[in-house]
Amino acid sequence: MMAAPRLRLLTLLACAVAAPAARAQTSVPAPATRGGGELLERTLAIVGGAVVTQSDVSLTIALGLVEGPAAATPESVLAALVDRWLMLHEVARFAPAEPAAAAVEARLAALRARAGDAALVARQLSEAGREASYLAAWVRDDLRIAAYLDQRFASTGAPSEPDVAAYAQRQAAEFEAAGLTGDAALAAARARLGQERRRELIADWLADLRRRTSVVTFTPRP
Amino acid sequence: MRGSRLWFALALVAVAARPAAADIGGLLGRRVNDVRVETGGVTVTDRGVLTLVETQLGDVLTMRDVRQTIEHFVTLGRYADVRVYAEPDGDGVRLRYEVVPVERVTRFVFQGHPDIDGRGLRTDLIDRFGATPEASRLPEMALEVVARYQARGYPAARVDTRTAPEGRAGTVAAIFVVTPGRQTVVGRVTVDGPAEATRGLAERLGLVTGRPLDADTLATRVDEAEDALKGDGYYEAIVDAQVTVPPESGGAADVAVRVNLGDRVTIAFDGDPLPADQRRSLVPIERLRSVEEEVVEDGSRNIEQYLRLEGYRAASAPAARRRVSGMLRITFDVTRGPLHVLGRVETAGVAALSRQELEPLLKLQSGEPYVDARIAAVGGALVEYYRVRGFAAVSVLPQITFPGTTDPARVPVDVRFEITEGPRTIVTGVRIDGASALPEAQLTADLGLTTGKPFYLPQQAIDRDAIERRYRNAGFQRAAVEARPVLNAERTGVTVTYVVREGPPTRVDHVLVAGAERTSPDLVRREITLVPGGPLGYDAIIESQQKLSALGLYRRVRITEAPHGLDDTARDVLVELEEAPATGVSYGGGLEVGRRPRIGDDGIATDRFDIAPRGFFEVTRRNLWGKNRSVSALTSVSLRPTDPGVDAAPDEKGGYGLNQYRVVGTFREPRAFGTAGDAQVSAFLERGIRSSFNFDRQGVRAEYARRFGNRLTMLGRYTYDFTTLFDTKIAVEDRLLIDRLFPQVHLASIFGSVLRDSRDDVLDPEKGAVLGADLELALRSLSSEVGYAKSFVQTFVYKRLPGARPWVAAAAARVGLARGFERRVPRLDGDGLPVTGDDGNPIVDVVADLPASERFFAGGDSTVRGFALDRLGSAATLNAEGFATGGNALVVLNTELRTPYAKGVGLVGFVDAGNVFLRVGDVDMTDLRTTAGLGIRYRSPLGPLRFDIGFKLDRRDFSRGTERRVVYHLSLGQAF
Repeated sequence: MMAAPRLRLLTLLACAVAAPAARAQTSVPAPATRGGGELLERTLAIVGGAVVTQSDVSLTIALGLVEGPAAATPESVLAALVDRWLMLHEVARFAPAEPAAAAVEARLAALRARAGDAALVARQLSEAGREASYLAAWVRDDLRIAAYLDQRFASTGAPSEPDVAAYAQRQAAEFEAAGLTGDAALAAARARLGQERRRELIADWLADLRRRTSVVTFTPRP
Repeated sequence: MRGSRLWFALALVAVAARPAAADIGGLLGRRVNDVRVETGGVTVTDRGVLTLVETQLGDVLTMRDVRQTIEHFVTLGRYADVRVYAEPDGDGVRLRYEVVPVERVTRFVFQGHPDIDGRGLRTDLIDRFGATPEASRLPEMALEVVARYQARGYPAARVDTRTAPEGRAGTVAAIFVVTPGRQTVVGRVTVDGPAEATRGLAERLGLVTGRPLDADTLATRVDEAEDALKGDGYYEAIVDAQVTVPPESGGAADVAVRVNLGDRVTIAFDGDPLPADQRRSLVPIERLRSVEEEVVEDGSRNIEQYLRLEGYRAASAPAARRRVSGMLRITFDVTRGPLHVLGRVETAGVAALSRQELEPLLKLQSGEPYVDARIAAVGGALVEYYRVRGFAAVSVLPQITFPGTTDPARVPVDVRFEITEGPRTIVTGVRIDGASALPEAQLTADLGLTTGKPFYLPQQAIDRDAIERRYRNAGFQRAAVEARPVLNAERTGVTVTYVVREGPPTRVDHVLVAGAERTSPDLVRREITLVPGGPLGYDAIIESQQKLSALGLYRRVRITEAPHGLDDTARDVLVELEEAPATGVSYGGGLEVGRRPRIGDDGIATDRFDIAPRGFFEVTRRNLWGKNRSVSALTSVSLRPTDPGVDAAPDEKGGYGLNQYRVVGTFREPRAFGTAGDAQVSAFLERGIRSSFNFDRQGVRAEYARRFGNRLTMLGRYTYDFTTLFDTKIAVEDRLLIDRLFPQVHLASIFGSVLRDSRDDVLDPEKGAVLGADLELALRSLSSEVGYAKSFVQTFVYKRLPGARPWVAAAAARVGLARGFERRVPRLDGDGLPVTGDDGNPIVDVVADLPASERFFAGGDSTVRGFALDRLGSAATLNAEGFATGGNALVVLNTELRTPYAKGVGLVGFVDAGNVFLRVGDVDMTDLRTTAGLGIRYRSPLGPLRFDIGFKLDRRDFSRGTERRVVYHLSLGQAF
């Protein structure tokens, strides 16, 4: 049990040097296309048996189903969809309670408002091979994931007071510029540190899920 | 994170390649004129794949169907990538699915650097990714290999990977080309700590400047060094190695080793004595090599607990630490206090139940050591007894009083269980609310709580689970059932309402079978209880899995639900099979040890001790034509000592002969003729030995057996064989007429058997029974040379006797009755001409016996144990030398009493009785030979190893001697 900390330094050094260490020249080869026709649909990733298709990425972008930096590019949307499946697989293991109907309705209304014209949304869903109930299911899963993350990472991410003080000191200039001093600065530091820790923990958790789950991706067509 | 960066990049171009929505819109809604599935330009014709295509000819093209088809293909596990192409075809559309088969890694090859053992790397990869991982996971595997090299001191290790096709389609070798880079070497080494602990430590850790630094090995050696110090009593010792690689060192690592020795620990016990053999187990300091506070506290607690279980109710054993001149002394101050013993035990408040029925629960005796835990256990048993009978609010409070004593070292304690019964609650009604998909009658059919029964909360939970399970089996995977008991004001009646939230039913969309390469899909589907369109039931999944496993064709059977997009109402069911090798070889050998009658020097039967080496070899080819049919060839041989003058020359002394063998070829077809029964046809060739003759037999046999439930088996068989007797030890004049007329005989018979077996264990049963009846008919109309009817009835009963460690009583009765059908045979002389009588007419002999090979014999380790094999018989079935001729009737009765096993050894006492009679009419229950004996059983992994010694209670004299009184047997499994 003591071996890991003792040799941690060596391992850290090794990792730093070895960042570009693994080069995989192998991935799933693209099928040799002999026939004609338009590419109608294809798999982009398989996450623990769940298929992420090209239509999924397009639909997610079109309806704005992911937000923030994850929505920036098609590849970041694909990454977000893969992470989402990883989390859904894990959440399903714990048989989460059904989210409240009111919460589902509220989120759904906001999502529809963001997506725009109802007829257009219906057509986009249809062209992605999704039913009208897809959005409600998406929202329900969003809420399940959120509930799971709140439950799992609520307390573990709480920073200690010395850490909060050190953080506030490091970011003193930024807080002062924002008019935050004293307890207000500490409160802001506590909140921000908590969020950062939570993000780190979730990132670690996702990395672990990725290690434990079969995630297959596909090379593009030449 | 390296891996994710890699595949994001790979996906980039793919996402960009998405056709415009307008293009898709122009194709959707058209009729499908043509649809193909291709792999590598070749059209797939596998029906199991094509049935998964949802976009069928003539259908209107929808993306929903396209998506579902992709999901089916992926779920099947045979294809890694699926792409769908469409092009206009008149008013319709042509569709093409391009699928890439999954490639699996079946071999791992490591090239470029041999420093790390390839076998170890391979094992690590298999542990994490499985024995045959998908080739698409190669990037992750490469990272794992890099990590292993880094841990061994190659911080800049690099691994390139590629694949190479293997012999079988869909399999590849994964090739890892390792460029390790420079290995870190040991630079400056400093060791800090007490001299007695650090002397030679750097060498023991393998730290020599300039030598390679292997991080894994260093960590192991540091642990070993720390363990060694702890082994010397320094339980607080810490050995720590800090490794740094200064940037300017050129790859040389500075290693700083620090030893914190701590004090040497001694443990002492003061005060009242503790048994020496208990000290070490009660105080875990030495065992755990730790003096952490909780370990020491555990020691105190364990001592107190131990003494309290002995009756020292006020025992204490606090621990104190004292450090004196480099020693840490931990002293447990043990104070037992007075011994408390039980005085009077009584109950109060018993009204609704009788004191008599509570009496068996009060397993406390005046004078026994008083133990709080035992009183609490009895109180708990009383509470449970009441609750089962509807007294949900019962409370039992043990009150203890000290009546006083003149002996301060022995304190009596009176215990009074004060019972407050509360009202008895009876179920006045059971309701189901919210059920619409399943009828209420079906949901309440098997409930334990019904109107009029006492209300018992755990039973309510069981009933709730039962209702929920019924829903799950009907496909309602999200069904939730809540039990709501409503009591009346007096709490004497309760109405239990089960509130059901059914949720949506989930149906089976497709049943996908993966891995059935040699097995016919129809065979697999036949065993699967789940049907497309039907409910996805839990029990059906389990039953299907069990039935597939029972086929014996697969190493692994796994049935899982596959995700179906976000659609909750349908699931694909994936049946993953890993087929066992089609050809199986098994072989084995052993020794048979026992007594067998042989001809002694004086010509009479003598039980001799035989050691017979034996072995078998079997080759089986399974799953012929994908239908679970099989053929097998079995050969078994046994080498037995020969009998001079019988199966060896008279002047030979001893030696072994190949006098027992068997060769059998069998074709087996489970579920033959479309039924649930199994059929098999065998051809056999064998040589066997009995006590009074040897025989060769060859023949064929056709058999059909069917099980009804778990206990009942019926079997029918036709046999045609040819038997030749030789080495007969019975003088010609003593032989039965049939043996003289038919030393070689063709027999054709039909056989029927019914067997009911409810034993809990076939090899070593403790309860249950066996009841079996056989009937065999050999008829001349079936081409048999002689005819007979033969029946055999047997019953075994096993019963556990009452008690905490129950004994087992076993009894058996076996009765065999046979009758030969008369046959008239003209007597022939040596030239084969009829022999005439005084009246000039041919002499005709009438045969009405069974051939020797079909007659009953008894005696031996599984029948009557006071006799050696085949040595039991009435006067008419034993010749003057004591050899058995066999008879037409058999009676064997056994009783046995088996003790429980103690350390794997059990004892047995038995009484056996039985006899063999020449004719059915000769059966005489007063003429049964009785033997008694003792046995030892050793519970081995193969079953009980058995040694029995049997004594004849009445010995009989033969013309040239008296029967041996004692016979012993060594065998495997119980006698019956």
